Amino acid sequence: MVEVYLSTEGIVKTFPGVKALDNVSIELKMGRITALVGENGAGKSTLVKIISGVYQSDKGRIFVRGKEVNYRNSKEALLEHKIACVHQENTLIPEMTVVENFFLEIENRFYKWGLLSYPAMKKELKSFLKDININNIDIDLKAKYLKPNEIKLIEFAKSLYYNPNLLILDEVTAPLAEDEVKLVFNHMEHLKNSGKAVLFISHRLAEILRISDEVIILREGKVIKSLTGKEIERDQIISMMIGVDIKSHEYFPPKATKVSDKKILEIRNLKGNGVDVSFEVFEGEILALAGLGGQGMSQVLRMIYGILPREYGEFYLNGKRVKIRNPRDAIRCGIIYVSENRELEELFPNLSVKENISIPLFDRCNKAGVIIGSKLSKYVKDIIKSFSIKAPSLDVPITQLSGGNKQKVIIGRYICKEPKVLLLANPTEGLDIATKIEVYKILRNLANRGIGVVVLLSELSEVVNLPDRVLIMHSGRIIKELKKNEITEENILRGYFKEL
Amino acid sequence: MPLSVLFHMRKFLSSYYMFAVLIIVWGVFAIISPSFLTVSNMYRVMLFSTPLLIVSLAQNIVILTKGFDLTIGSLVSLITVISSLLMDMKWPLIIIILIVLMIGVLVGTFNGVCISKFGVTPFIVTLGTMFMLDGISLFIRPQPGGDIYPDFINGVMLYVSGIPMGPMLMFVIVAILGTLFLERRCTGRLIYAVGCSEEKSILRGISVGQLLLMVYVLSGLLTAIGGLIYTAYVQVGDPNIGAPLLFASITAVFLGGTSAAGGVGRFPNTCAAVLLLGSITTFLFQIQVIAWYKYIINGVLLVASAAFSKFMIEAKGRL
Repeated sequence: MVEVYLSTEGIVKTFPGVKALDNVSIELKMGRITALVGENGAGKSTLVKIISGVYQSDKGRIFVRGKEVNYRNSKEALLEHKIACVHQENTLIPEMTVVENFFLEIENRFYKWGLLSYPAMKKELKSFLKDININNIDIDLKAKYLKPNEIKLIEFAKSLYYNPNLLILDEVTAPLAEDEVKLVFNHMEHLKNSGKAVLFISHRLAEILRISDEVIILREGKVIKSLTGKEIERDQIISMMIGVDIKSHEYFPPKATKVSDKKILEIRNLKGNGVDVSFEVFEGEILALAGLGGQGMSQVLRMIYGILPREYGEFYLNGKRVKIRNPRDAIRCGIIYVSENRELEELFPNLSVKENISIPLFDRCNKAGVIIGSKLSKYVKDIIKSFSIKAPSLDVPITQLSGGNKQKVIIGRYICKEPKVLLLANPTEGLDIATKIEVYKILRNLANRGIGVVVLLSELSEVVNLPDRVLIMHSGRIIKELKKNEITEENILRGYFKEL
Repeated sequence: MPLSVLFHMRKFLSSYYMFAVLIIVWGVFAIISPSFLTVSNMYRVMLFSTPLLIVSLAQNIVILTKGFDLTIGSLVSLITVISSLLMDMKWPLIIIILIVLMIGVLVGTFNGVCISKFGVTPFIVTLGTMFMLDGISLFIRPQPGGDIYPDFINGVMLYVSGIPMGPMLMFVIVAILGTLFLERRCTGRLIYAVGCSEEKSILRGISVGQLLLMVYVLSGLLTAIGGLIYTAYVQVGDPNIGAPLLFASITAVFLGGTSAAGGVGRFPNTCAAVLLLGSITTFLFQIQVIAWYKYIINGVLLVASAAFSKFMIEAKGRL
């Protein structure tokens, strides 16, 4: 019988408007690598933060080696229960050097005559990094100058330094190169073989299949199933994660039967930020920009909208050349951009739902600069109704809405401006399936009204089923165009990996 | 050899550029008024600077955590008022000192609890406390007055053959202890960490609330010490006397390159900035220019140095 190092019982955690975790009970066994999988927003990171002591759960208990524990912060979990965690977020203090960051929690071990001894810290860190085979990182550098992979490696090294009984790795491998992933895996195997527990989170399914002994599947804050041994199998994990068969087309609205040949927007020689593209957008179509991460898709949208500086670019709207220097110009031309970073770039967190919707409407609801409340309210109510936005009241802060309703607010508020072209970056990121389906429908309706919808998509099933036309990007260029029947999973994947 | 010397010079200057500014300003002053760079005049500069340095340390610690302590001036006033009152009542000196330090801790605790427990913005909390303290001072002593024990004044000034050695010693001690505390003690480092990013600090298990409380208590205590020393300087209890110290402390901290965004800034630069402010005042007095010019010069310097440090940071980022 394998010993359980940490177990949770009935963990519940609620954030304003969302139940992040609902009655979660898991067991993390010693000498096992347990993987935690689930879609974005399934509650993985919340669970990790509760186990590692960052958050306190609303309900439920945590046991370490069968004894109930209650730690108030992550330092207690780390030092008293040997639970080390590498969070998804960067936790290095940007203005401090690597050495200081490494020992920040336990700097008091390096006092010499009552003063911190940086030489002693450096010596210790150097020899430790050498022991665990992480080289080539300048430990005197301030953390803000580190590359993303170096940040993760240092945080990983830091968690190993405490000799943990339970090591939690939340998306550590995301920024790492192949050999660095191998290094991390070696250390995980080593911990496993010396009887420690490891909890591993990654969005790369291949890694999970390669290394884990047990897979826990989370969906919408609940544990769906825990798989072991031979049950760990790709298709089964995916379908459990999503909860529906991904191949089914019925979740997507029907594609346009007849695409107009009228160009609304033509983009010629858009250059800058490693991107060089030319393409056009037709009336009433959904055009997808697709590719592996970091191929310049989001730069294209942001350069068109004038948020990112560009070196060159000509824009023709209905055949007429227009100048777009900034988002103001773009909006005047009828081009609207919806950022993938809803919280930071779209919403005004301190303002109410009504105010958030109203902001683009002020110019048409005022008389001599004074806002006409009744007119504004009518517009807002129309938007709420036609996009079926669910809010407890129009006056609650926007932050209390769920992700899907926030997205509907964002898209909805611009529709009154009657845009000609809508640019969206990952519009369904972080939404649950039901809301995703609603967003698909909204986009299709907008296209049917004659708007050119340009959408950056990263999920394969969406790229296959949503758009009428797909542009595949690689290293900042468009390398392939797929139309209608050519849009198949295979063709897209071939494009991604440049097998033309 | 010269290259490595240059390299170290550059490294030193990029960390402690305020010293370069100070030396240049001294040079300019010395050219205009040759008697500026004399030993006795430098004593005067230090003499002027010591109370300011102590409250600037308080302000610096608070600003490093993205906060503000507006109570500093009023607390100094209150302390001159209370100590003069108790001295009028002939209380023993040691008791007076203890009471005054306790007042500092109490005010700091009040600020700290409001900020860390109830999450009120530091600016608002300390603005409110400032008004309360002003009211109390004016209530106790509406007009300046009272006598300060001569023994106390002598104890602070420590005259050695007519020259006050006390303030100078204190300046050096505070500069060294403040620097060591912020750069070589865990608590000091945690102040930087929390100032840099509260979210990251929470992820790393640092008790942010506790630390903020400690920061304001420390600020109150340091201000109380500064207030006591200031009492020996002004030799009177005055309900309005501290106000200029508040603005001077904020000026010194920002002049020294501490960022209002938190987590960036080194105390030695603040010390140099304090000396610079002291030098300007002394210099203007020496060349017999009306003192009001001091404010114009300080203002220009503050804005110029803020723009300069922003420029330096961006230039570094490009490397």
